[in-house]
Amino acid sequence: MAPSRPAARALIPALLAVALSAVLVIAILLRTVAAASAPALVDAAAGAGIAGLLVIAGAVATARAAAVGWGVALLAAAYAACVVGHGAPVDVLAPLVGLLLVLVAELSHTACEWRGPHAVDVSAERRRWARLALTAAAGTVAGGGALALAAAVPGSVPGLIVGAAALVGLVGLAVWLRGGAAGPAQPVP
Amino acid sequence: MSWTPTGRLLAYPWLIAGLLLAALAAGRPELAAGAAPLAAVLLAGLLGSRRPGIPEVRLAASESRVVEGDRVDVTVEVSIPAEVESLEVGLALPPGAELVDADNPRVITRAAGARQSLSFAVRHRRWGAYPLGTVHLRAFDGFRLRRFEARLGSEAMIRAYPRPERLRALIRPAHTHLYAGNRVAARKGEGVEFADIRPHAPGDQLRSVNWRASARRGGLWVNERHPERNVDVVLLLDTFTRAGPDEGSTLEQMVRGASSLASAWLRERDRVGVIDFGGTLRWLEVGGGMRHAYRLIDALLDTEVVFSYAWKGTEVIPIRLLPPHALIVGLTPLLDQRFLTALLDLSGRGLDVAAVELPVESHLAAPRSPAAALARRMWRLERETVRARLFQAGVGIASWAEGEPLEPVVAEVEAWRRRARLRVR
Repeated sequence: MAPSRPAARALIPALLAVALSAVLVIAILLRTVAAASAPALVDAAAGAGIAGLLVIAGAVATARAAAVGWGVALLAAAYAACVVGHGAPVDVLAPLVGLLLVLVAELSHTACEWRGPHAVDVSAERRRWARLALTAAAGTVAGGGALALAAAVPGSVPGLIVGAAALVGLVGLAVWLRGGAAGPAQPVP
Repeated sequence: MSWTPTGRLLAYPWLIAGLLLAALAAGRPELAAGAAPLAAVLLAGLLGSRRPGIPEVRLAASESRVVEGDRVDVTVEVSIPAEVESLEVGLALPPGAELVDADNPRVITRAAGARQSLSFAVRHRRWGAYPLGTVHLRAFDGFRLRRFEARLGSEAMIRAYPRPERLRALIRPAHTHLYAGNRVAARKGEGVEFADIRPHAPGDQLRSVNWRASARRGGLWVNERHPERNVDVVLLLDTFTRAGPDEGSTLEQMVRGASSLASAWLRERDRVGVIDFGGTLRWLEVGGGMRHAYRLIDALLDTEVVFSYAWKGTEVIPIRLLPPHALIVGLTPLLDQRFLTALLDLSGRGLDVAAVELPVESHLAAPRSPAAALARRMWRLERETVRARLFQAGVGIASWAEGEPLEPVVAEVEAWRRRARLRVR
């Protein structure tokens, strides 16, 4: 364990999260401005992107982990506006955007956690980030595959059903996961 | 261990659902592909970890009895469940206790051993009985999606004793007891201190013959001596009321003073008892020795003010608690008439009574108006009258200001009693 002051150790993930968010927002805005047919979509992408960046920055500055999800959601909304405004050709960089969203979310959460009164074990964190990188990379590859499949077979009905089922399942999972509470203190044997 | 979702687990499902919904609504597969890394992390985190069982924890302290302000090492022995690779261990201490120099919480990893012990240096700021603390355990799954927590308490206690003040002189009782001790008795007998000489009588030992006096007076004269005896002391604590907050109250000062006085008398081989005279009556009969000293200080630690409107006099005190010829030392903030009456009653019964006053004025706010200032003056005059009544009844009393040493106060009481004895003679 590396004992260090919470504010100092949280600085690097916080800066990285904000920097990655800024990169994502700039990329989305450049792409939207270059390709969008409707100015309203440009405004929506710009508004959502900048709001997401500000929310992420505010969340890591004030260590409010609950706000991180909203910030990432706004960045995702900005990307959705960009994709919708982009028109017909499929955006092959979409899985990379997903990867960036994961990184922003993880870095922001890490910064918030490290600001709190938690002990940090550097070796365990290193192992977690390695696992996370592998898993997210696998997800990115899977997303790329799904994207290629969707581009090859446009409007496939099974894909729609699987997507809807996944949606329902995830919502159910989220509701179920809200359970779980701290138990009462128990005497030490 | 119970678990709660972290911010990730609360956010990721909704983000994925939102992206999939947007993909379906807009007919754009890119949004579903963008959700894939998030979904991979979520699924891997949920499927790749199990809820750990409650770890075995043992809490132990290096000492069960310490003097306030002294360091005690609290050891937490934890077994790390197989389901987690690291465990955060925090020790939550009761109010009044603090960690000296340890990091809290700390992380232990399974790689360093399945069972590990951590030591936390703890200091108790003031006297009292303290639980060891509560161990807070926290662990996360491999992707920090779920937080597992457990709180484990212990019923073991650490008793922090008041730091006794070194008293070189004590209040001299008017009478001594029968048993051997360190006080010079007024009567004559076998002892060290010279008392008088008298003509030799059959049975006197040869070594007690005073040869110089015998040579001068023509006949055998022998020395008489004062024997060394112990005394009985009863500490009468006024627990009807107190002034000030928990830390620094008159009750705290009273217990500290009683502990110092009791320790000093017990060191001199005297017998000491204690009576909590307040809303409830608690006592410990007079006794001596090391075991009694611990019993007495344990009893002092449980001293508390119990509020009561009921009028109580000395008739509620069992007679065996006040041995004949015992010195009774009252410790009081002089706020309750019932205690004052009790002191006067005991003195009126012919018992040897002294008192230490715990001033309360430092706990009062400064008067803000002329009327309040006048009321304060009247209150001071009333307290002066109370002291005068006690002096008149033969009760020596001195004021012990908070933060000041007790020794000059004891000396002041003793000086007054000496003057009073001389006046009586």
